[in-house]
Amino acid sequence: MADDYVSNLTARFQGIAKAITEDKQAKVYMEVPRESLLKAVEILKNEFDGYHISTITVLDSGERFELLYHMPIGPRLLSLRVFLPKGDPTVDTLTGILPGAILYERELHDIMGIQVKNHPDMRRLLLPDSWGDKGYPLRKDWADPRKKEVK
Amino acid sequence: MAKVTIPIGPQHPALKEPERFMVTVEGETIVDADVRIGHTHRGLEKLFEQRTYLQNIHITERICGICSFTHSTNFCQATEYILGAELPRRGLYLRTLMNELERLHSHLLWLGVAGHEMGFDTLLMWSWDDRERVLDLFEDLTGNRVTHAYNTIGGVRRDITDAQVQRVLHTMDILEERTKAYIQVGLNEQTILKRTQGVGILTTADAKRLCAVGPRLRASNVKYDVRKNHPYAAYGELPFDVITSDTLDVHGQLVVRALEILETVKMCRYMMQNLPPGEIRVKVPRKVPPGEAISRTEAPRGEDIHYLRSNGTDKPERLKVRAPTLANILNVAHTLKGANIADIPLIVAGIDPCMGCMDRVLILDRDKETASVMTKEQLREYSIAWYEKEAHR
Repeated sequence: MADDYVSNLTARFQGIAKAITEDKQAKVYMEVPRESLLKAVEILKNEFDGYHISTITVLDSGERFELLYHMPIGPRLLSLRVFLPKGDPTVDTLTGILPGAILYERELHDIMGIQVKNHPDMRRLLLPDSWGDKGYPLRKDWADPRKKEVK
Repeated sequence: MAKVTIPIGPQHPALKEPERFMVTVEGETIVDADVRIGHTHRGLEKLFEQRTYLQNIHITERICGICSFTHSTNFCQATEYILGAELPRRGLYLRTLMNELERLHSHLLWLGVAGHEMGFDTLLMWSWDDRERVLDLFEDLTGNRVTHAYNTIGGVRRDITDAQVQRVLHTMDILEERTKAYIQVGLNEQTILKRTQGVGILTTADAKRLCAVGPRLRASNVKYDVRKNHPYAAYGELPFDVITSDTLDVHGQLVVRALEILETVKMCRYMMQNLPPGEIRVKVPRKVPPGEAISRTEAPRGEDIHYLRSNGTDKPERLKVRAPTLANILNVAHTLKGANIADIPLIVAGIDPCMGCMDRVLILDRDKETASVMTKEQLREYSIAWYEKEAHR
């Protein structure tokens, strides 16, 4: 069963995904280049009944950003992994395929400064409207630009 | 008729927690709705990176005041996955028991809130009285009524005695009888039927499209439950059914939640009668090797997901939390369109929103540049001066 799942994915995503791995808890990770992200999600939606996106995780790992799109596909949770260079953190929006991703993509922009291309509504989600250019707080190199409290 | 945009919230008598809906109405009918969240944003995801795993158990527990246990379960599970810890079965059963008791009290709380929003406050009094019984059980089993400090990485922290098992069983008997009475009320009482049937309809296609979760999804007739589809803890061994409703409205959500209480009672009974003997926890190292793990649970409000990345130290590299309300708020904005103004509280309350969960991510303490401490007298003068400037005065 487990082998079937990964080998089916590997066969279908030949040439689109780079590496597909499964951990002990039935969580499957699939690395996708940023150019093929939309194609991969479209195939998952049309051929694997992947209508649900649980959330998008973004990590700052020093030289690059790492995005994880978590989608339950069949009996496993599949996570699409996309790497973005620090100098050009842009990624295509999923909202054309999965409208449920709209808030998660706004969150990406708000807290980590990921630019989501063609997103219909890129207002702030979590930070206050008056936040301005105080930066993206979840980045590892972010320093609080506000004045220190005097003790 | 002219269109008018009304702000509802962040502070509004009809809402229990701060969020803002910008509702555009034509007469009584809502034509557009937009939601702005972030008003209870506490910066927890940044905080997780600066605290040790043991400290983080207690922070994750404070993400939400209602479904506190499901968040700490998720965090502990993710850490155990990376550590490769094998939990004793008794520990898993007790953890599952707590998760289900939490569902009981959360659903009873929702029933009361829904009753209150539809103007049926007697229901609020009844169901919150029954919810007290579950809170008393929590106090009995864990020592705390709300944040239980019961979970730990590798199992749970307190064992259960035979007398406590009997008390759980006794409470289950009472709750089963009471819930059956509520179901009779929910299916026959005219106040409830008139107020909830046909209100807040979310079709199956829309529920899937907008990625709804939990009872909202199941009330839209989608049979999906993390406990059944991706079993965790002891759920693989427990007998229960996934409840769905095909009425798609707020009444469907009421039916789903009420019947889920009965399923939960069934599960708790099974767990208490088949409690495995043995240890309740395993010892785990304090430092977690580098790795990543995802943990998903079915919180009372729906799918809750944590992603954990460790870097070999005693602090996580990143912990991402997505609480169920963030997934559901999108379909609320959708369902509001076409509804009446008077139905707003009921539709919003329908998903059992929890803003504290949803807004968890990062830094929003007071803005240090402008913050200052006023004495009571200064504040009074400030408010008088402010109101005198207002045009309507």
